[in-house]
Amino acid sequence: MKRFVIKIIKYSIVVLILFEIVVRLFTLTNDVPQRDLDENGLQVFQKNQEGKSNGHKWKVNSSGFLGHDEVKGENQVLIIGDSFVENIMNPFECRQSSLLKKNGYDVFEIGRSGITFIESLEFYSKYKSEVNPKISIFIIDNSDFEESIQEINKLNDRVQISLKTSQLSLGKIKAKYIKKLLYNYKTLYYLYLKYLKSQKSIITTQSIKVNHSIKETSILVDKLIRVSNQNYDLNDCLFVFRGGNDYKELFNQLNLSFIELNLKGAEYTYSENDSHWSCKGHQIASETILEYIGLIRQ
Amino acid sequence: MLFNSIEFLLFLPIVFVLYWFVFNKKLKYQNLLILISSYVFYGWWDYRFLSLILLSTIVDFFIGLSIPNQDLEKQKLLLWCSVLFNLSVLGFFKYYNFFVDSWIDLFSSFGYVIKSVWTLNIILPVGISFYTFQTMSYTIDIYKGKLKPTKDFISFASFVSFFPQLVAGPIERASNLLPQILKKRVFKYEQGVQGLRLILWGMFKKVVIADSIAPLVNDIFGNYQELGGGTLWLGAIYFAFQIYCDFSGYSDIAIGTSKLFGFELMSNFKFPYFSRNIGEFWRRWHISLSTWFRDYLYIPLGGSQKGKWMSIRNIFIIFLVSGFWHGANWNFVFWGLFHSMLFLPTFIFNTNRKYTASIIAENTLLPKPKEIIQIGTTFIVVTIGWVFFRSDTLEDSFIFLYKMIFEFDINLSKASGLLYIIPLTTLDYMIRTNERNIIFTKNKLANNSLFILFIISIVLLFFKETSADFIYFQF
Repeated sequence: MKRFVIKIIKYSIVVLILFEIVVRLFTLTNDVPQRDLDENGLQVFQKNQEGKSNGHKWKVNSSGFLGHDEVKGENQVLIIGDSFVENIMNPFECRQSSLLKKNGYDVFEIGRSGITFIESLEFYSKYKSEVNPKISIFIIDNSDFEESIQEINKLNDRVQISLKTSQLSLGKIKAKYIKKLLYNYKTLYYLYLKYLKSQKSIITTQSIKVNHSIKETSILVDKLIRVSNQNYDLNDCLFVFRGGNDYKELFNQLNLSFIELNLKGAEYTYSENDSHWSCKGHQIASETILEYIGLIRQ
Repeated sequence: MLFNSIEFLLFLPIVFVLYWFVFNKKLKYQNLLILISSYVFYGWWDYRFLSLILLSTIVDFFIGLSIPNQDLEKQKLLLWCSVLFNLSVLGFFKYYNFFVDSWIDLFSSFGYVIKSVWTLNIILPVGISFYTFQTMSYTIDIYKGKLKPTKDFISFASFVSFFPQLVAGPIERASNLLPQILKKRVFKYEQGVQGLRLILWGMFKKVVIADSIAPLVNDIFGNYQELGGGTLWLGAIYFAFQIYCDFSGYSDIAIGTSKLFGFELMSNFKFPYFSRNIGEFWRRWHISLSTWFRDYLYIPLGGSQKGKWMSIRNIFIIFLVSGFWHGANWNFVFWGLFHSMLFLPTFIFNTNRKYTASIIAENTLLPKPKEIIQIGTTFIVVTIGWVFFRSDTLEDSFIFLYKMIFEFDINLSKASGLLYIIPLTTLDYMIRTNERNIIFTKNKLANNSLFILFIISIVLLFFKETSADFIYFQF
């Protein structure tokens, strides 16, 4: 038995080493930037990391994000959003910051997957005075509102607000060391991703589901938007809805600017299983945004 | 639980460690562990159907115990009780709807319209065709005096539900497996290594070959009406290899897993596509089922002892029943009929027992030209038979075959499946003399490298986004 167990261990070591070589040689997994907490407890990427995703190079800038971080004053724009702005799957030239820059804007871009509406406002609040933008663009979705509210769905790794106590709760970086192991030991990461895909799962955070009716949810989101409007200066902000805006009336009532992109269909999405925008989707989104901010400039 | 699932990859080492390191003190404990593990393995799919296995186990255990103490008439009665019970369970779950629908169709053809109120929504319990045959063989062997009944219920229940072969065989005989369960097992290094090799080879055939060819097969059989005959030939050949790799892969994993626990199961496949005639093919394909039918149906019907015509009738019956065993579908029945038509001429001209002991090119590197032609011809007719097996309806099968014969277009973009088939056939050829100890070459380094290559390719293709069930689970 001892001989048998030793043989299995020997084989396993050889296979694991060879498999790691295969995974790295054929780039079977994407590199994922690791996160840290900034001085305000918001999650940003560890600075100056580099990697490849879907064959495209990415690099974390000195602010802890993947896009441009220019602060020049003239035609200054601040863009904030989730994985659509993080945009790790597309080449750098397809980023919103790159597309706006091409049209003469100076752009500071904050994109991180999983960002909630309230977290994006926290980033906005932090960078507004430093960047001094003429306009701040939030690329959002209706679900970002819901994910911001603890009373709807408590998410431990996201920044949320309790509308009962008006207290913010910061997101924790979960399983930091396991993530580090997974990202560095590519074989494990590869198997983990394949397993998730086979189970048709998505990486979800530990959540305590609270059953809320659609009506109750809208009341809570309504309150969130009103509270946000009171606590943050949203005058020079443009809310770009990836889909439609379910709270149009309220936005109009509060005089908040918004546009709806409604980019649906295969030609705009990255792939069959990935509904993020492709380069074409980003191009269309950018043209719509440019049209709007061009009108303001006039 | 599927062999090609992450659950099994965790389950197997846990049971292995418990079996050899924790429960190894007493045989009773080891058998109890096998029983519990087997029920967990089966219950992972649907725990409700464990009651069916348990019921089948209880009925045959007590009937088996009672048979030797009775006079001949009562023995016969008890045997019939066992056979009828097992066939009723099988008949209800597998064939009930088929018979109801067939009756309705028959009446409809005479102009009587009957509403299908008797059709039930029945789930087919996985492995039912395998374990009912296994338990039936136990009582039949006791009745024939070939086997003494066991008084150890746990051991008998372990025999019925032995997890490596529970859901898709090999269909074990009590006379082979039960004595092994009743005897203390000792771990043997060589047996363990052989087991691991068989598991890897089986996984390779299933995960790398069968599952990679499956989309091509589905595509060609799903769109056969728009495709040319050449492409349909490719589809039929792909299916021949898909079903071979899928089913023999399962059997290899089952035999290999059993070896890890100190058991030797019977061989189920012996390189059937290297057969030189259809008789040899049936001695090499799904051996546990064909020998079951031979021993428990063909011989009781009189075998070849009652004259040529009775033998022909008996052969015809076992092929028909064999087709029907695969499923409640006229396609399977026709597939059985087709094979009986292929086999009967060899029986009539006494060539069916040719090549009983040898394998092609046993002591040479390559087969003789005559053998290559024989192998090619046998493979072609077997492949034609697979068209009935794989098509949705009989009508589809005939149109498919018509196009295969009379249309010659080939879409070369569908030829990519050959990239799997050619290496598989080469590897199969390299091990053709021993299906139980997989050694591709005497060069140890080259052999080990091949297995490492298998592991890497299995891991790369292991997780599927689409279902990768074993084909024979549905039988």
